[in-house]
Amino acid sequence: MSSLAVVVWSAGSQLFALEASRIRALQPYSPDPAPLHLHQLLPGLVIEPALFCLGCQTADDQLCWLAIGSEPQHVQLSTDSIQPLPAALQHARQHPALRALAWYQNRPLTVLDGTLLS
Amino acid sequence: METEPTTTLEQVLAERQTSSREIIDVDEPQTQLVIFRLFDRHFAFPGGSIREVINGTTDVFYVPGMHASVEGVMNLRGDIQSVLSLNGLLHLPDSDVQEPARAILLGSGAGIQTGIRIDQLLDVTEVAQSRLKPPLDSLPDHLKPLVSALLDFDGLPVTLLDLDLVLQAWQQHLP
Repeated sequence: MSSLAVVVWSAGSQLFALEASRIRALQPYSPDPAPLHLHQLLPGLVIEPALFCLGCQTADDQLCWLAIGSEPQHVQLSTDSIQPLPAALQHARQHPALRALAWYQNRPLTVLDGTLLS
Repeated sequence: METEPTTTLEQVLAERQTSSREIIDVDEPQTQLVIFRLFDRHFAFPGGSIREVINGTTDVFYVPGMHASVEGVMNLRGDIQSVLSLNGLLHLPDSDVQEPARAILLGSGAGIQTGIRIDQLLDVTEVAQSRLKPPLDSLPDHLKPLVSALLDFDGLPVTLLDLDLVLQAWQQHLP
């Protein structure tokens, strides 16, 4: 069964993932250089204080730092479990980095597109 | 001895004719409707635009970063399906999440397949097309573009919505 390597973390009661091949660094949270916070991308998301910063390679080969509030885990997601956003959600999403959903541990996991983080 | 008034042949035949006329009426073109309640209003979708009625106790999971009209997603036999609330589009207050009769209609329109939250399924039934009345000019402006007909269903005024138009309007209302 084919799988996709992702990095998974929780934010509030939600699960998020980024493709592991785009992750270039993981370090303790630092406000410098100013990282992106998920609630900036996804208004209304309730999150914990940031503990780590994930360095993610963007489409233009830059490093984008994303602040996260829990320790990320490396997970092999079955490709069968990953689905594109349903059409209604593609229209209703507030940020284009929301790219897919996967069913993981009996709940949805939001898969972000690291190339579109900014 | 008093006798019951006898039924005449004419009466019998007249009654038969009425019955057979009623049978012919049943052959009138029918249309299937899914009739439901949302808040305190009654609506219907054509049966052809609804694929399935899903038990309202099905888990619906919030998805962050979506417009407020998105209730979330559900896992339907392995497929992730969106669930929308149309209350805002129809200018209705939010429904009570404790409503015991809530359900989800899985429907298609405007290129979108989605679940639609309803407060109560009233019936899935065939009705004679002659019972569908054209929309009144007095309909609220926000409903006029979405309504294809009006219907009296057991004394309840039911507004027949076109799901294609509803989902087009939903997309247009997104920021």
